[in-house]
Amino acid sequence: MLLENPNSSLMETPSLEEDAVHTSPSDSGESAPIIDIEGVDFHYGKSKALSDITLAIPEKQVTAFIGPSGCGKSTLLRCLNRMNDLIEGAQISKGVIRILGTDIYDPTVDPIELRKHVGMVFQKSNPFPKTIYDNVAYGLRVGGLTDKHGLDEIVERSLRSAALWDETKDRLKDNAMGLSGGQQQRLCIARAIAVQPKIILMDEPCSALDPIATMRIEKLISELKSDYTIVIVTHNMQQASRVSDRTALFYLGELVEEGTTEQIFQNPDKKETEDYISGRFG
Amino acid sequence: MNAPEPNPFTKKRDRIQILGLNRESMLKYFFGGNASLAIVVLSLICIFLAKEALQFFPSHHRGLQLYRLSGQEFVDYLEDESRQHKKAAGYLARAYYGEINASSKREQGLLVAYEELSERLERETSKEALLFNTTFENLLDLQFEIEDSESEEDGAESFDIEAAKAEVTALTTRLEERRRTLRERKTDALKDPGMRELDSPISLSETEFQNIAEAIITTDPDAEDDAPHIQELNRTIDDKKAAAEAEYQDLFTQLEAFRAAGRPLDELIGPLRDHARTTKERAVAAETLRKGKEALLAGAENARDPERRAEFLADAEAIELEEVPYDELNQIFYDNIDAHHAVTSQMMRDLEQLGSQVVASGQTTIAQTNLSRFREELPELLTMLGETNDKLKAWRHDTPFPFLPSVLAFFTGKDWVTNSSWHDFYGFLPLFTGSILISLIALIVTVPFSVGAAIYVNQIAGWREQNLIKPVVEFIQAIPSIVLGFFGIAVLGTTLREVSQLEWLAWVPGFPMQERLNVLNAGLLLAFMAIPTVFTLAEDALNNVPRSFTEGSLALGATKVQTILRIVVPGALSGIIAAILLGFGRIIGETMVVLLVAGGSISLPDFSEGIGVITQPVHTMTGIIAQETGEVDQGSIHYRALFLLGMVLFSISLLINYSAQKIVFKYQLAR
Amino acid sequence: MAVPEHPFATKATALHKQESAIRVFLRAATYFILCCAAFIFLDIFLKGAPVVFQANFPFVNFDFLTKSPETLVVYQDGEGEIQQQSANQFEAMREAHPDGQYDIIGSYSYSAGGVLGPLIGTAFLVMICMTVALSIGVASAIFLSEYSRGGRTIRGIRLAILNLAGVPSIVFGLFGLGFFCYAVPNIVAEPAGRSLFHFQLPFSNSYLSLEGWDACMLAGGCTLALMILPVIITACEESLRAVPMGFREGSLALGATKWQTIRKAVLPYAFPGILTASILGITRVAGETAPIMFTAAVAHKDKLPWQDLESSGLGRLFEFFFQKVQALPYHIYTVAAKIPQSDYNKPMQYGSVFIFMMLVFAFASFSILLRIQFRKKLKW
Repeated sequence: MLLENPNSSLMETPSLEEDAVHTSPSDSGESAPIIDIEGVDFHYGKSKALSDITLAIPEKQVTAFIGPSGCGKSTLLRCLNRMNDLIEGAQISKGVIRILGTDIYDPTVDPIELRKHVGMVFQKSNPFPKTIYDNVAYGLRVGGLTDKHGLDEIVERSLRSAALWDETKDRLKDNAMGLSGGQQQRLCIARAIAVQPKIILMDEPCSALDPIATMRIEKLISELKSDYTIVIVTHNMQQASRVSDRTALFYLGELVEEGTTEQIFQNPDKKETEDYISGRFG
Repeated sequence: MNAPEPNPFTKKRDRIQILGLNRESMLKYFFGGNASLAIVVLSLICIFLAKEALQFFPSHHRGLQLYRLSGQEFVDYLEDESRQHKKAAGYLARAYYGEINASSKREQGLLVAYEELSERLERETSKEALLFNTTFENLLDLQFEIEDSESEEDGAESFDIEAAKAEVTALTTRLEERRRTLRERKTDALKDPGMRELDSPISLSETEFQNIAEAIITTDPDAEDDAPHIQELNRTIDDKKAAAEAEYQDLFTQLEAFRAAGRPLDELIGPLRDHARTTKERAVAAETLRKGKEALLAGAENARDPERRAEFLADAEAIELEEVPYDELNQIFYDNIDAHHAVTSQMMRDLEQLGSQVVASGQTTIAQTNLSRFREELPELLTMLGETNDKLKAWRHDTPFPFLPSVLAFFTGKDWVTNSSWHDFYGFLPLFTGSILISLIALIVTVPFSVGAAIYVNQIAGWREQNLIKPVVEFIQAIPSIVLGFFGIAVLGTTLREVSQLEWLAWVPGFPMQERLNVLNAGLLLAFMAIPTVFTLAEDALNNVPRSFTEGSLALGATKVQTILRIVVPGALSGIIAAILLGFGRIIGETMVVLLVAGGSISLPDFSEGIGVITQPVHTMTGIIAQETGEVDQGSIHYRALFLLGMVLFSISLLINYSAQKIVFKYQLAR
Repeated sequence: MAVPEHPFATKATALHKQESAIRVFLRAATYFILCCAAFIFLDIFLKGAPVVFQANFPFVNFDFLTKSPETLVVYQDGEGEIQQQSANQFEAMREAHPDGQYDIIGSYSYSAGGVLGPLIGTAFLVMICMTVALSIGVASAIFLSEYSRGGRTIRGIRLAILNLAGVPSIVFGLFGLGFFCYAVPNIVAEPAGRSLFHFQLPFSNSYLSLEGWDACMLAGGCTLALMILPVIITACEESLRAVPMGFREGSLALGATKWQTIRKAVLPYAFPGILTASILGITRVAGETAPIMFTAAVAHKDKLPWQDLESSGLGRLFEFFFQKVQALPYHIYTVAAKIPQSDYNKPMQYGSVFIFMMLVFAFASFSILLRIQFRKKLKW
């Protein structure tokens, strides 16, 4: 109803291989990074929040951003789906962020389209004050999908993927505000994956949850990584070591060190990393 | 043993204590007392409005009782018939004159244009004309004096005829000079292209305009006759009218006959009407006397001074109360029922016959519409004539007027007539309709603008724009309503009427509007006035939608507008509805704008034009209170009627507030 | 449809059209409001400023500011020129030159002179109103914000305040007439017929009678005060609540009593908020016509309120407060709607409206500026 051509909706997901083929030639032995951050500086008005970040995030892996509060990890995350556009005066002053080989700050890029490919889960669960069903279907509807059966199918699949189907299948028409905190957060994950993004950004998704709900979300994350590239911001190092494949440590707006989680936690290159991991500061 | 060491935390006794209260608690009660003043004031408002308002109903009931007792009700039945007859006759007359005037439409249009143009020129050249007139009058005076002195031989001593004659010559020259200036000034003024835009129903050709202009320029203020061209026009009109009159001779005869048929009824009503009025005046006078006597007796009871008491008693004794002999006085009405029956039966026969004679359709549209209206009214008139006699037979002056219908008579009354010599009617409907009409217009206009602006400022505008718009809205809130009302009179009314006269807007219902001051004008101003209220509250409501909802929606790839329409507005909906309701409360309670701009016509607006009703003048509940309260006596029925209106307004405002609070409260629970 | 060169290219053009259409609509609605406001201001400014200001020295038409409304006489002098004079000047001139020729063309009430009387009257009404409203309002707000702990009474009070805020001003006018003018206690020599209850005061000839004060300055001011009360209470309470809890706790922890805390640690910091709110309240009160129409205002008055008082001592004060006054909004109502309209009363109309608007806006801007200033200064 909103689109002139419903076929062009997000339903036909272009296969990743195709994009990879014609956008980023791989020169190393590894698969090409899905997100490629090159020398990014970021400002909030006059104050600099990120300086010279260069980082490649590989596909279908969980990458954790860790660091003390105010170190810029959430800022970087929000750059990846251009949520920072909403903040007046916030801008990338230098460097390039490429996703699927495309510079996402290029003028031809529509942030709306970008966000359909790069989903996000927020620190505090934020389901809309609508029914569970409508929450999951929201992204599809604003994308122009109106077909009832199609919606039903995707809602069910998304809720199943988010391990929420069994708990909610009988109460899809209930207000989402009635769910528990952990359920709400999983609903938000289901909502994010319903539009079938390639990347899911998670901004401290468990910080407001109790340990049991946290455990379920972490389990869910490791299940989802076979289908999605996940970037997770956390200040909980145990969580980073439990769920992530790769870890990047930020401090005062700079990237201190980046590598596989195993390497960062057991054999860090830098002194600061070791200090932070062992809890000497932060 | 020593007394135990006092506990360091023992309560210290305050030095000042009154009624067992120390300073702290006294202060508390003082503040609390002030706060409860809000409740006290609200209750006082209720009490004082209700005290007067509720006394209205008994007074009103007594008034209606007297209306019946004095036979006024009886006479008004007859008046209704007469009015209906005149209405039908009016349509017939309009049809006839429509036909007659159509024959010389063009010439009349020219005449209208001529009059309008000369009026405008008069305004333009008022100064020159005044100078001319002064000289002219001076000249006349002088000539008159000369004539005087010439006829009276002996009075000539003090009057120098030669000098006067010389002055006459001088004045004549000056007059000619001024005549020239005046004409030049007129010619100049006519060159202004604005002079060609006339309200006249026809558009003038160049020659026609020139002819008229010529006629105006040559017609000086001292001219005794119209310019030849205008005389010619008038003659043509007369000729054409005479021809048309000959053509429509039949219709004219029918019209005359129709009018004549109603005359006996009117003749019957006249004396009855006077009689009823006299009866009423007598009753009122008797009532006043009775009250005076009561007051004197009460005064005598209260007076401490025995001398004064005696005085009071004597005065009271002197007043002779009169019992109004209603039975006797009303006999005349019962006696006339048969006469009425005879009159109306004759009328029915005549009218039926006439109705069948009248031509079915006219030549011009005016005649056609009026004839068809006539055909609608005629059967109604006939039924009315047939039924009234039974009504009269059933009527008894001494049937008591039931109380409940007298209450209903207020709420369903279509007339608000006060200070009349006949009977005061207190009908709520015209005022209520006026208020509601204006409020609806205002609401329809204000909601899209203020809610739209609230959404824009809250969701789309940058901080620079916000810093511009919000103070402006605060300024709008600070504009006193009397200033807006003045603006409505001085500017908006004229502008609206000019706009409504644009030809390409003729399709809008009610355009072109007759009155400058009307529902639309008042509605627009009130809409402007309500903007700050609705805007501020709606913006607050939008602001209360958590930012996380917006972010969540945007992160799912929704556009800004999609987010606004699907998440933000639904989230703030109850707040927005409450804002609109409170805006409505503000609009319906507003006084000065409607008093100045609504037009002040206390009659039920004519809904037959559909939406066109919005260009009619009305009066409102608030307006009538403001207009009449200052002029009525405390405690009179009129005063109480106004308090009753105030009571209704007060209840409406409480109801609106209550619903707004309910809506917001429900919404808060849901969140 | 062209193949997008990257997956994030704009796809939904129809959506974008709808999007921008809605944005344009919302923006148009907003700016239309601003345009209307600008149009009204400009109209009043352009037509009103020439009345109050003039091109040559001293640039301000002081007559308009220092005289009270008078009747305007339009006449034709000996040379046939049309002249305008206020009635007083005209009489003076006619006395000075009795042989001159004056043909009076017309006289227009309230169209000459200036607006001093109405200005002064409004100033007094506002002063009475704000004195009453602020003393009650601040006390109520202190109770609601500092002492109340919820419960039915408090809910009742809040409900009453909310509802009072929605009552139309004309209803306040009626109430003021029925209550202040016809029912409140007054000390009189002889009770009037309408008196609800009266008794003779001991040791005097006067009666205490519930017969009201009749239409007068005091009745009007009190009516306005009741009308503005909810606004003042709400604003004061907000300012009090904006003072951080920590200030109170800090003060109480040092052993101060509740009242000391309020006086020393709360009120001083709430003061700016209360001040701005009251200035904004002044603009609203000054503009109200309906409540004072029957309770205080009078169209014609030769003397300023303090001139020609007959009594002495305390009676003088009573006489002062118990007189009717002219008021600017009522004056505008008179010249705009109650007298026959002609071109000769336009200057008076626009001049009064202009002065009135300037005053209201001066107060409103002052309050907005104060608020901005205080916000910058006080940060907690």
